[in-house]
Order: sequence, then C-alpha cells, then structure tokens
Amino acid sequence: MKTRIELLEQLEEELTALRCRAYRAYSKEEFLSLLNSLLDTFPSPKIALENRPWIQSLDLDAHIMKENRHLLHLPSKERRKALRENNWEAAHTVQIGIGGADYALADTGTLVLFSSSSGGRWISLTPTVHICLLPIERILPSLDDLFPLLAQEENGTALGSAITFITGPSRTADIELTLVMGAHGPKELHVITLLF
Amino acid sequence: MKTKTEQFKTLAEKALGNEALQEALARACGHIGRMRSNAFQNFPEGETLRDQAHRIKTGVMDNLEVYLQRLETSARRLGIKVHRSPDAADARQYILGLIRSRNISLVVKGKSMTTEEIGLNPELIKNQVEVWETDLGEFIVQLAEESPSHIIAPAIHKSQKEIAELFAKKLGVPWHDNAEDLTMVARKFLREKYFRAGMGISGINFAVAENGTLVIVENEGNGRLSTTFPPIHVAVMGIEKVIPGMKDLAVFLKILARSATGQKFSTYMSFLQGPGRTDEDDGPEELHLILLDNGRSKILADPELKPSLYCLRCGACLTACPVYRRIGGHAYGWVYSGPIGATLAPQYLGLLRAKDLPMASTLCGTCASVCPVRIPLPDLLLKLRQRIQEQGGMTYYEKAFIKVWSVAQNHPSGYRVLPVLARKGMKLFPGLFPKGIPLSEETFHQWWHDENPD
Repeated sequence: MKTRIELLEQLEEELTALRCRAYRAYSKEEFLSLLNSLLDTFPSPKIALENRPWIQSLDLDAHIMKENRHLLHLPSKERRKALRENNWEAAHTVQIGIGGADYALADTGTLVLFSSSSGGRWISLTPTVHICLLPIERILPSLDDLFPLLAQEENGTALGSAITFITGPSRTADIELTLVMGAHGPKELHVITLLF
Repeated sequence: MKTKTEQFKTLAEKALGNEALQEALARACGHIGRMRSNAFQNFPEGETLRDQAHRIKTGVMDNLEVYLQRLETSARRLGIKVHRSPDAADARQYILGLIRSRNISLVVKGKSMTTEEIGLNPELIKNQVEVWETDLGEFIVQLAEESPSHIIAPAIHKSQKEIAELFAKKLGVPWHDNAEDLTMVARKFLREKYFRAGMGISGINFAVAENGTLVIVENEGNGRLSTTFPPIHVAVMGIEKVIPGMKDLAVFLKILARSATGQKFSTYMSFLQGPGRTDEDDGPEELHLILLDNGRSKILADPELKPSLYCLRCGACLTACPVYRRIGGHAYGWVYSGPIGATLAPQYLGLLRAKDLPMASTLCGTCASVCPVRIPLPDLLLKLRQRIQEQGGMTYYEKAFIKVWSVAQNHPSGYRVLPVLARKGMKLFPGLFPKGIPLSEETFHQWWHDENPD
C-alpha cells in the first residue's frame, strides 16, 4: 500500500503529464500566498468561489479580495432561480473558478466532483481557469477504490445530479490532430493539494 | 445523412484518387493507432479487461429486456423521464413534440452518433429549429454540410486550411491559420448558444441498470455544457448501451478511452443522476431518456450476428482497418463506417442495399485485434458475405470467379497454374485490375523453387 505522500507524488506526476499545474500547501498561510500569487498572474480577474463548507471555512473572500479583482456575488437564497433568470451572463464572464474536489484518483490524475458538494457544475466548467483545492486525505489510488464509496451513498443519489470526473484541462485535437487546450471548458487546470 | 451504401464502389474509387484525403487519413490513422497501442502496452491488465468486457456484453444481450426494465425503473426513481422508441421516426417525433410544446427555437447538441443515425438534424431544421453541433469536429462537419467521417474524429478528412476557409466564409471571421485560433473561434461562437438554447441533446456512452446513472465520456466539455445549461436535456441511447452495474462500468471506462484515443481516461466523464436539484446552481429542469431500438432487436434475435451489438463506438476498428485507412468514412455511405459500419449496415439497411460493404475487407483481423469488447468482426463479415450470396447479391462474374477459385485451390495443379494465369491476365488486361500494385518479376512459386532447388 502506498503512503499518502506516495499517492500525492503519483497524482502530481499524472497531472503534470496532462498539462495541469500541481502545487502543495503545507499551511493555511502558504496556501493563501500561493493562491494570491496565482491570481496575480491575471490582470483584473473576475472570480467565482464555490461555497462548500470547508472552502467557506477558509474565509477566502476576505483573503483574496484586492481592488483589481472582482468576486462574483450570487444571491444566497434561490440561487438556482436567480442564476437562470438573470445571472448566467455574469456567471459566464467569470475567468477563474475556485472550487474543491471530493476525491482524486492517483493512477489517472483524475479529480472527482459531486454536484451536491460543489453546489452545481459550472465553476469547474465555464471559467477559462479552474483552480481546484484538494485535501490530501481525499486522494485514492484508483477508480476501483472510489466505486465502493459511491455505492455506500444510497444509490449515489446523495451525491447530487452529476458526478464529474475531470482528467486534465478541456482539450480537442479535431483540427489536423493538433492538441489545443480549452476547447469548450477550462484552458488551465491548477490543483492545489492542502496538507494542513 | 443520406444513405449512399449502394454507391460504395464509386465513392471508394473517388476517395482513392483524392490526394489530400489520402494524406489526412495516413497521418490521422497512423497517429491514433500508435496512441492506442502504446496505451495498451503500458497496461497489462487491459487484455483481461477486454475478455471481461466481452463477457459482460454477452450477458447483457442475452437478457436485454430484463436490464432495460431495470434501467427504466431506476432512472424513473431519479426523476428521469424514460421513453421507448421502436424506430427513428418515433424518436424524432418525441423530440419534436417536446420542442413544440415548450416553444423551443434553439437546440444544442453534444456529440451523438445515434442522433446521426436517426437523421435528427434535418428533421429539426425542416421544422424551423436552429440546431448546433457543439463538438468541434461535428461543428466543422455541420458548417461544411457534410457528415462525420470517423466516430471519434468527425472532421478527420478536412485540412486546417479548408477549416480556416470554412470559418471565414460561414462565420464571417478573419482568416486564422492555426488550430488554436480556429478552436477559439468555435468556442466563442458556441458559448452563448448553451445559455440561450431551450434544449440540449446528447448521446450516452453507458446507462447503468442498477442505479439509473447515465454516463457521458468526452474531451472538450461541450457535452457537459449541453447537458448542464439548457432547461431540458434529452439523452438518446441505443438499447444496447445498457450495462448491469457500476462494477461493469469500471471495466468499460478503463478500456474505452485507451481504445479510442490512447488516453487513460477521457477528460470528462459525467455520471448524470437526474435533473439539476433545487440546491444546485445548474443542471436541467427536465431530463428525458430515449431508448432507441431502430432495428437492434432484430439483430439481437440473430444468434450469429448478435455480437455486432457489443460495440462501444470507440472507433478503434476504423483507424486500424487497412481499407478504412485508404478510403475514409464517407465512402461507406452511412453513419457508421469501417469494419463495424460494414457489419451493421447490411443488418440495418438490408443485405442487398449494403452488399458491397462486407466485401470491402481483407479479413486480416486487425479490427478484431483492437476491439475493446472483442467483437469477432471478420467472422461477422464472412457470415454476411455468405448471406448476401445466398440472397443473390453477387454478380455472375463474381460467382464464376469464386467457383474457379475453389476448384483451383482444391487441386495442387490448379494451385500452381492459377498464379501464372493471373499474371498473364494482369499483363493483357491491365485496365481490369487496381492501379498501383506493381507486378513482381516472378511468381512466388518460381521464386521458392529457385531458392530451394531440392
């Protein structure tokens, strides 16, 4: 059996081969400075944050807000209705989506997201850049280790309307087999593993 | 697309003379084939998984109705509306009915060979519905008013220059001469469509009977966008795509992407478990699942040809086939091409209508050697040839040739004399034989005899 760090190393190797960027944060301070320096590479980014509990507890709003950055604020009540009725345009101009992963699979470099915990599907989909936060204890060796866990969740229905497996940034090779990233989904995928 | 299987010989000949196509096919098939074989070389358990996949499919086909009913029940439990379509017309009608009752004017489509099969787009356009294919390759093919020429690389036959011209002409954008810029043009053009569309239509790679999960596998993200933002998602699947449980799904997922593109997993695998929930930002309000028969039950009832329904639509047999590699997908004149297309076409369209397709194979077996579910394609093609012959699908000359051939093969003297006669014939009537095959100086028998005088 591989140790956590060995699994992380394997995951990072796969992610790099898939043209993702992998980072480690050993403390909250390190995480925040890493995230901020990553966000600094974009001139005046429009950012959307996922609101799963452990991300909320990091209090990112306060820590990443700077005057040149715009954070998309969505109504807390009837979000779904509000988004559908008037905010999709706004949501679709978001350049950077910051969210979490429910699991990661080390042997394939895959992130697994439950729509119940991410509150929907768009943050990992419509922005040009997807920054994914991954607690180290959520790394599993492979798909075979994940499926029994899914089954425990009462037919999987507690996991939301979609379980999304993400293996690298959106890609296509439909024009003369030239590999292009960001066909329709994110062009960049940054994975920050949290070791604190 | 318009079915043109009767014109196979003409179309194939045209393809052979098309230099640009020859170049594109050689490059694409070579590349994709290498990716596949590398993927399996580094994956020793792959061979066992392929055996397992074959066994799972055999089990499903032997009890298809049981699994379909189980799927219906569990999908309904998830809030999915299930509809059974006996044929293409019924499926088109069901979709059109939804469109009319909800006043939908714009539809986006994720990649789906099944909707190509039922001729959905022409029907929607005829009814004044704006419809956009969102997979880049499918989008290119739609703009060019063509049909996909490969299951997983629909625009494999088009050069970058042709695509640049097409985008400039049809979308009114400046000329871009690199793949990245062209991809971004499509991305930008299609992005707003997902948010404006009243319906998203997709195919399905797998449907899990035990819990109703619908699985969509893709690389671009257009499938996710088409099934997340429009208020209604309609998934169209052939009934053979049902699998018993999640354990089986794991087997297929591990071999599907490796067979198709040589990736361990495709970029996105979406497990859809019902419409979007009230506590989620997005996801459709309604999810409809169409279980399409369209001739599949008939194949199922044929014990000899049943394995043609095991197909996962990965495209590996196309890319590997020496015939497909030379003539490309359009020559087959139908939605599915290559060895699997040649196997399915006579069964779906009628033996005589597609009688040339099973003949367009060297029976070399490469297709079977790469098929992730081990469909015995050469055996199936041989059986189809036999049935076509029985139905009178061979010309007098073809029958005469086969008769002479079998007599000669059964007698040593005939076996010796036939190559000599054939060489004479090729010299006397060069017009009757395919061009570009050089004639050697001597027959194999002569060469063998010279090398081994004893």
